[in-house]
Amino acid sequence: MNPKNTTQPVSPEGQTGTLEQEQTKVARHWKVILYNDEDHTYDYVVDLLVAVCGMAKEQAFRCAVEVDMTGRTTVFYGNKEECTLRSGKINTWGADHRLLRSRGSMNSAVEPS
Amino acid sequence: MERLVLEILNQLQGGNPPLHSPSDLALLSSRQLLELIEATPPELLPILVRFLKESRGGVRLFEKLMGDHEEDNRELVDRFFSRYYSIVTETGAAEENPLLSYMDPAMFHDLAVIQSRELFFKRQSIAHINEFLAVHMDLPRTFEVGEQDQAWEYFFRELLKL
Repeated sequence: MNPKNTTQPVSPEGQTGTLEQEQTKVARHWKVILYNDEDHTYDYVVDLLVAVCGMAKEQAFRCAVEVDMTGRTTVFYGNKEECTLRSGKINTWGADHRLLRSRGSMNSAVEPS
Repeated sequence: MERLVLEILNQLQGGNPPLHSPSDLALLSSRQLLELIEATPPELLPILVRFLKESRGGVRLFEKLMGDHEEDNRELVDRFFSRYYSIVTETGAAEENPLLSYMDPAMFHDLAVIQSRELFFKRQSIAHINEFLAVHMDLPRTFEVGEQDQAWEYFFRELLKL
């Protein structure tokens, strides 16, 4: 057995690192993308991201501005299971009580990072 | 309105480069944009952000708002987000009962709207729910902590009787 194969696996980019580093990288190779719509307020997005993704309010607000301006924003990085859980919560969080026209949740998706 | 705001923005940034339409905002450098935002009075800030959105600068424009991630711009970036946050969100509204504020009796006849607020209702504290039900319904008893589901069922059942 070549010890190098167990402690320093080659990363997809061709670089070497410790096994622990590689495992961490692989485990966190997923992200949750939040998509914009016109049926939810900045307040809703801030409350949602604080509750579901554990963000500070200030960070959540920046994400709210980003999703409003660009159409999408990354709100969470993690392994596939964690990302799926958070995306599911976002997609079922419910309507924005501040807007009468809001009848459902925002949309998010899990993507490889 | 658009022309008036553009005129004010031109004055604020000295007309260099001149802004003829909202899309010209995307031509400003990150520093120029942040300095213009800094000089913009609070009442015009939401309009300026709307112009930025309409300019379709997308990701690149947002990068500029983030100061192109340069340390020199950080203070301006932080001040922009802090000011904008206080202008466009409900700061200080946490003390109010959100159910009383947002579930007006005028919407009680529209069960589709009410049903879409189920998760919102159930996320509230039981104290707020009891207060809301006491104001609008003939509440036979107050609900206990953790009885959000029962409170919702009671509320919806009462609405069906109206």
